[in-house]
Order: sequence, then C-alpha cells, then structure tokens
Amino acid sequence: MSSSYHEDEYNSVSWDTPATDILQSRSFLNESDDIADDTEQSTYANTNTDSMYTSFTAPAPSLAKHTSPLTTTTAAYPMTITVTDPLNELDGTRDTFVSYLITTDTTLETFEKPTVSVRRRFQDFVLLYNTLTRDFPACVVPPLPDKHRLEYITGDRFSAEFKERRRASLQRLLNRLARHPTLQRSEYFRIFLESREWNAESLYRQKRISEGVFDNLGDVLMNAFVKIKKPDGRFIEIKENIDKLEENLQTIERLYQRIVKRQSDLEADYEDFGNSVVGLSQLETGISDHLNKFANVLSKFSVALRHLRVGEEQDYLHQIRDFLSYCHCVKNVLKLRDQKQVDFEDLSDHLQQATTEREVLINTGKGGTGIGSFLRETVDNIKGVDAEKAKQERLVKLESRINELSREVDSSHDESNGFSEEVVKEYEIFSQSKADEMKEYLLAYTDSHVEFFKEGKEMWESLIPILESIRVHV
Amino acid sequence: MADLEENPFADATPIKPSYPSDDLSSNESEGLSQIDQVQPSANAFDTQQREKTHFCCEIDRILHAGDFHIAVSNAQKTSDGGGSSYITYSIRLVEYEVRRRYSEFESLRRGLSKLYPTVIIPPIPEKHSIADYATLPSKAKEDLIIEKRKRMLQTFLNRVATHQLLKNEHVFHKFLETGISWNEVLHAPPLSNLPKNILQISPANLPSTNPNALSSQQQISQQPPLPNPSASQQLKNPDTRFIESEMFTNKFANHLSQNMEKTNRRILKRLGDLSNDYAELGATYNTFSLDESEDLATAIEKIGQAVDSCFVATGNLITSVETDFSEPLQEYSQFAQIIKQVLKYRHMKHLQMELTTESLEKQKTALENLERSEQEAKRLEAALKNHGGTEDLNRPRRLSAGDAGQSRDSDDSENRGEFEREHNGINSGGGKQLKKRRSTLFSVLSHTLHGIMDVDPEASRRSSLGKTRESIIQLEEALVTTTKDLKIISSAIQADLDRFQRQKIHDMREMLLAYAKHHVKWCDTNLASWQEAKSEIEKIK
Repeated sequence: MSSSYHEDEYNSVSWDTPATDILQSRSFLNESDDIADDTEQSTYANTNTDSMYTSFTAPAPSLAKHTSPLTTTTAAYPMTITVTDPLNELDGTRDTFVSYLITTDTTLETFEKPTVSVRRRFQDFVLLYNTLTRDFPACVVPPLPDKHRLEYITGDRFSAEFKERRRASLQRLLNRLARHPTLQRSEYFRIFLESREWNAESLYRQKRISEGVFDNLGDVLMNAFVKIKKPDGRFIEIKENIDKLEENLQTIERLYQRIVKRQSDLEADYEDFGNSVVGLSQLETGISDHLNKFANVLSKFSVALRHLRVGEEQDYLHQIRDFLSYCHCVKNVLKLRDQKQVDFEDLSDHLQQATTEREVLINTGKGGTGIGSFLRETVDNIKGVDAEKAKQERLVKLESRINELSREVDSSHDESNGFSEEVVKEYEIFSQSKADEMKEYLLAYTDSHVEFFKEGKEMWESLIPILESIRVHV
Repeated sequence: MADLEENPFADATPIKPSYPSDDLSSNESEGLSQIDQVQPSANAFDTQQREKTHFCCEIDRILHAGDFHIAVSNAQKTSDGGGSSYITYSIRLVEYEVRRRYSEFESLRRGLSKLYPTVIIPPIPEKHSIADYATLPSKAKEDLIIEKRKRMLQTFLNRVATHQLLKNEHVFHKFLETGISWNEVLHAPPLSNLPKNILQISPANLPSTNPNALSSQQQISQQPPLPNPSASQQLKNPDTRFIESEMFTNKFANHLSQNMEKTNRRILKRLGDLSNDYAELGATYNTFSLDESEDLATAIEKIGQAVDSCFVATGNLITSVETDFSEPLQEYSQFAQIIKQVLKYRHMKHLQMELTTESLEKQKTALENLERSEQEAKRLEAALKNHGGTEDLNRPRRLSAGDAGQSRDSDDSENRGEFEREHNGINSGGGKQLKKRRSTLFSVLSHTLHGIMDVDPEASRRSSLGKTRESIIQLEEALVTTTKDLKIISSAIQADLDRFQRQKIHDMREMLLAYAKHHVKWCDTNLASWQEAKSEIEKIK
C-alpha cells in the first residue's frame, strides 16, 4: 500500500506511466472490499488517481455488496437531500463562516440511517467537489456555486439575500449529485453527508487533494490544441448539443439582464404614476376617493411586478447560470475524453514508428533511413564498432520498446474506450438531469407569471366597479 | 392764493417734468380708436336659451336633434398645385361630407374663441413641432401621428357640436357643410368683423346680453373706447371665486403637464421597450425549442409562444392606453391652458372696469379743481373790477401760475385719455395714426406754450373744463358698460366652468375605466398563454 502513495505522483494521462501501475490499482481494488469500512483507507483508494479509470468501470468498493455492478445500471437510487437553515458560526470573530443544514433521506444501505443530518460550510463543498472530480474524472461532477469574491471583500456574504442565493445553489449541486447514479453512491459523498468527524478528515484530505488537482489542470491546458485524428461522431454530436444549449441559455440570460432592468424601471414608473394620481386626487376633491383607490392599485401592481421580477432575477436567472456551469463541466469531461483518445493515438503513432523502424532495420540492415541513421552508422564505423553486433543490440532495444509500447497502446485503448463509454452514459445522465431541472425551473418560471397575471387581473378588475360608481351628470 | 404763494417755483417750473416721457411715448403710438368698433356676431340670436324652433340651417337642426356623430376619417395628402402638399381630413356628419385641413381647424377654433371668449373652447391637437418632423424617421410613425390627429380632431368637433352655446354657431355649421369654402367664411361676418383685440367689445353670444342684438351693436359702436389694461396688472378688488379658479387652474395645468403626462408617458415608453425585449426573448425560446427534443422542446416552444403573446398584448396595451388615456390626458392639459386664457380674459375685463373707475375718479377730481379755479378766477375778476387797476401788474402773473398748474393737471388727464384711446386705436390705419399723433403732439405743444406764455389762460381753462366734462360723461358710460359686461362675463364663465367640471369628471371616469380595463385585458391574455405553457411543462417526463 505504501508504494501507492508514491505512485500517486503519476497521472494516468501521461503515457509513460509504468504499465504495472494499472495492474496494481486493479489488484488494489480487489482488496478494497475488505477495507470499505476503513475510512482512511477508502479515502486512499478514491484519491489514488490511478484508479480513476477503474473506479467507475468496476463497482465502487463499498457498494459492491448491495448493488448490481454500476456498469450495467444507470438508474439512481431514490435520494432526497435538502439544504436549509444557513447559520452564522463563530459569529463575531474573524473566522465567522456560514454553515448549512444538510438532511439526506435515502434507502441506500451504506447509510447508517435513512435520514441523516449534518452541518457543512462552503469549504466542505469545495472539498467534496475536488475529491469527486479527482476520483471520477469521467463523471460530470456538478459545479460549485460562484465563489463571489466581491461579497467576501465587502462582507456581504453574511447578508440574508446572499446566503439564500448560495443555499439555493448548493441545493442544486446536491440535487444533481443525488440524481447521479455513480456519484450518489460514492464513498466520499456518503462521508460528506453522514460523517460526524468531518473536520479532522477534511483537513487530511485537503492536504492531499491540493497536490493532485493542479496536475490534472495542467494536462488539460497542455493538450488544449491537440487535434484528434479520428473524431468520434458520438462526441461531436454531444459537443454540438451542449454548445447549442449553452448558446441558447446564454442568450436568454443576456436578454434577461436587460429585461430585468426594464422591469425594475417599470416598477418605479408605475409607482411614480400612482403618486401622480394621488396628486390629482388632491385637486379633484369630488372623486379623490376613487382616484386614491386607483393610485393604490397602481402601487400594488408595481409591487406585483417587483415580485415577478425578483423571482426571475433571483431564481430563474441563477438557475440558468448554475446550469450553464453544469454544461461547462460536461464540456470539461468531453475535453478529458478527447485527451484520452489523443493519448491513445499518440501511443499508436509511436508504436507504428518503432515497428516501421524495426522492419527497416531487419530488411536493410540499416538503423532506419535519413540523415540520423546515416550519421550513426558513420560514427559506428569510425569507432570500429561491429555493424552486425550494433544492429543486433539495437534490434533488441527496439523489440523491448515495441513490447512496451504495445502494452501502453492496449491499455490506453482500453482506457480511452472505457472513458468514452462512460462519457456516453454521463451524457445520458446529464440529459435526464437537464430535463428534470428544466422542468423544475420552467415550471417555477411559468408559475410566477401565471401568479402575476392572475393577481394583476384581480386587482384591476376590482377597480372597475369602484370607477363605475363615479356619478356624473353631463 | 396762499398755496400759490408758498410755491415760489410754480410759475417758473416748466410743464414737462410732471409727466416726463410717458406723454410722448404714448402719444407716439397713439392711433384712432373709433374705426375698429366691431359688429358683434349676428348669431347672438341663436344663443337664446329657449326651445329652438328656428334653425339657421339643416346642420343646426341635425345638431339639435341629438344622437349624431361627427366622424373624422380618411386623411389624405393633397397637393395645392404649387408643389407643397398638405393633409386634408374628411369630416362626416350624416350625409354631409367635407374635407378640411389642419390650418382650417385652427382658424375655426381661433374664430370660436374670439366669438365666445367666455367659453372653454375644446382644444385641437397641437401643431407638429419642427423637432417632430426632424425625428420622423418612418412613414409608419407619421401615420401614427396622423391617426392621433384624426382622433383628436374628431373629439374636438364632437365636443363643439354638443356644447350648449357652440352648437348654435352658424360658423361652425358652415365648417361642416359640404361645398362651403372655408376661406369665404373667414372673410365674411361675423369672423371678418372681429377686432384683433376682443377686449374692446362687449361679449356678444351670451344668453344674458341684450336680446335685441342689433341695437346693442349700435350702442357699442357709439360707446367710447375702453381702457386696455396690461396683463401683468394686479386687480385692486379681485373676485375671490375667480382667484380660486385661477389658482386651481394653474395647479391643475402644472400637475397634468409636469407630472401626470410625464409619468404616464414614461410607463408607455418602458412598456414599449419591454415589448421589444419580449419579441427577442420569444424568438430565442423558439430557437431553443428547435435545438431540444420531445417534451422539453414542446414545453419551451409553448413558453416562446407565451412570451410572443406577451409581446403582442403589451403592444396592444400601449396602443389602447395611448388612445383612451394619454390622448384625453393631453387634451385636458390643453384644456387647462384654455381655461387660463378664459380666466385671463375675465381678469382683463375686470381690470378694464377698475381702470375706468380710476380714470373717472381722476377726471372728477380734475374737474373739481378746474371748477374751483374757475370760481376763484371769477371772484378775482369781480374783486379787480371793484378795486380798480391797482393790482393790475400782479394779476396776470399769479393767475398764470395757477393756470399753468391747472392746465398741467388737465393735460395730465387728457393725455391719459389719449393714452387709452391710443391703445384702442392700435389697429387703425397707419396713416391716420400718424396724422392723429402729429395733431396731438401739436396740441400738447400749444397747450404748453399757452400755459407758459399765458396767451389766453381763461380760454384754455374753459376748454379743459369742457374736455374734462366730456371725458367724464364718456367714462361714466364706459363704466356702466364694463360693469355690466364683467357681471355677464363672470357668470357666463362660471357657468361654463361648471359645465366643464362635469364633463371633466365624466371623461376622467371613462379614462380611468379604460386604463383599468386595458390592464385587465392585458393580464387576461397573458394569463391564458402562460397557463397553456405551464400545462405543457407539466407533461415533461
């Protein structure tokens, strides 16, 4: 086990990882059944980056006992998580933070009780996110809410409005996790939802994760411009779908920023007009009562408009923004998948090169073509090295390199394929999630409109008999 | 005698300084006043508030039968042949149809407001400003403005046609009559007889004016010119009822134009912007729905439709509120300005009366003084005769001092009279004015010279005495007229203000109701489409 700690420094994405590594992590997984209850060790298992490929193709260690293998199921267990009751902790000190009450209802047998409650702060979510991203690179781990640095500076992060906005965002994050068949069962998520010794544990993890995440990031950046040789139609389509979705949501978001501004101006306009009518009621004393009632409706109408606008601004707009970052996560996973394919294609190229070289060497007796081989031969000749002996030596070297590369190609092929399969499944999960979330958001969105127009209709209708009661003799 | 003695400068002081520049400047612009005495409208007959049995024309009969509607429709671009084009509006009342252009409406309104200075003549839409023309980018916008004009002109005609006094006006009937050249109406009585300054005539067309209009007309033509007060002058004894009216009108006008109209316009402007945003949003949802599939696609499409219908409904809301609320509001803002004019007319008439009273009092004082010096002169003369020539040397000097003072006084009042007359005569022909001015100047000079040289103090005193008496008689007549006029005018204005107030309440009721109903309709339409969208979303699996 201790060797694995050192292997941790390798990343599976780099093609020169020793081939034994994968084998080792597999054997490690086989053991993991026994250590499932040992938190620290299971932590180790999950944080071992080498296992990231296997950890989703094979059943998660702790779940093996209860569920059918994950590779054959994408259905999520019923799991309801609520985020409520934001609380200022260590209030009055410099270390004040906000904690949220997280209550989980689930029939998953890994949980001690069907209902568990814990308090977690934002940093804990960050930790959860980082851990899951690291452990399940092929999974679309739902994104964290914005960090909102400005609020941290101004101290607004303790305002009720900010806490509510963040609570709603965290709620969405946990909903997405609860809906995800793999992530909902992950050990670390369980600990996050259940553990009472969270603090000690999280400190330990924090240290470990800060080493790994950076490497992953570097990989993605390094390979951002690498082109895939044989693009996979499935992922092109997924990418296109996500792009379109993003574009549509972005347009709506952009439009809504303008609309919300106008609506808020309109509220003020109706309010002002109401005041004008009040002014008129002071002049037209004969109908001042009617005019005041009219003004009152104008002001109520302005409040209803405000209610609608705030709903759109604080719910709908944030839901869209949150969903956009979810889309972004999908795209990141797609990028990672592309990377896997690029790795495989690169390795195949190297293998191809080595094989060609060997063939050339056998057929011509020359160590390849071109100026390089010519120079080497010339040098060898000068040194008086026996050409045949040198050729044999190089052939042996080449042979072992080809063997090594073949293994690499095979494993990276498996890895790339496995990753791809997983991403296809992830996209399905994401699509379902999208349908669920869109339904939820759009329903709330239309509800608030229905409510507004109903309310508006009632208040204006109530005014008609009042106005009709104005008696005039012309 | 004693006061004469006490004023050692009296005889030495030149006449001029007592009325320094006023005399001259007023004399300069003095004109003849008599010629513009005006025949009041012959329609004074029609204004009798009795059951009408004689109709001046067929249109009169139609208007009195009630249940009619004047429609302004079909604005048409017409060319006058000279290259410039204008828009004519087709006016229809039963079988009568006539085309009139905006400037003709304008002159009708102007004519009516002169014929009926005590009536709140309904407004016509405001002229396009140059800025309007400059910022008119599209034909569509121009059409909108023409549509609005059509509505407001129609309202104007119907308001006139239902007004108790105005509907009797034959000039108005001619405006509606097919085949009548408006230009001819403008250049025929009563409109051609109207003076530029209506303060100079007693208001005709009032129910309480002399029933024998023609004879009263004669009277007026003989009546001396009335003083022309300046608008900024304050009343000495203002009528409290009208002070209130004036204050209220000012407040009302301010509130409407500075507050109500602005806030209302802002709402409509914002709704317009919002409506455009909705159009864009609706299109976005529709694109979005095309990129999605199955239930979600249908649901998003429905939302797109709801947003689209929001766009349409908001557009309709704006148009209806514009027509049924903003335009009447604008009309009432104009009404407030018109009432200001009517009240100002009353104010001027009131001032006229006060000025007449004032001049009369001054003339009376002047007369008293003149009579006193006349008495004194007589007494002195008698004494002289008794004493023989002993004081011969002194007499003329003293008298001249006293006489000069008097003649200055009389000059003063006479000049004032002339000042007033000159104002009245502003409109008379330039040539005559000049002649008159010269003669006045000359008479002033001769007066002064006479005073200084004391050519014939007695004769000049007697002539001032006669003039003052004459002017007092004229002023007394004028006072009777102005007092009577003011009374009639005040009650006529009060009556029309009362009528206007009822009309205003009625119109406000309609405006507010329309506002509420259009908002109900807006909510209703939107509610339906959003509910539809909602049920579609509920179907998402």
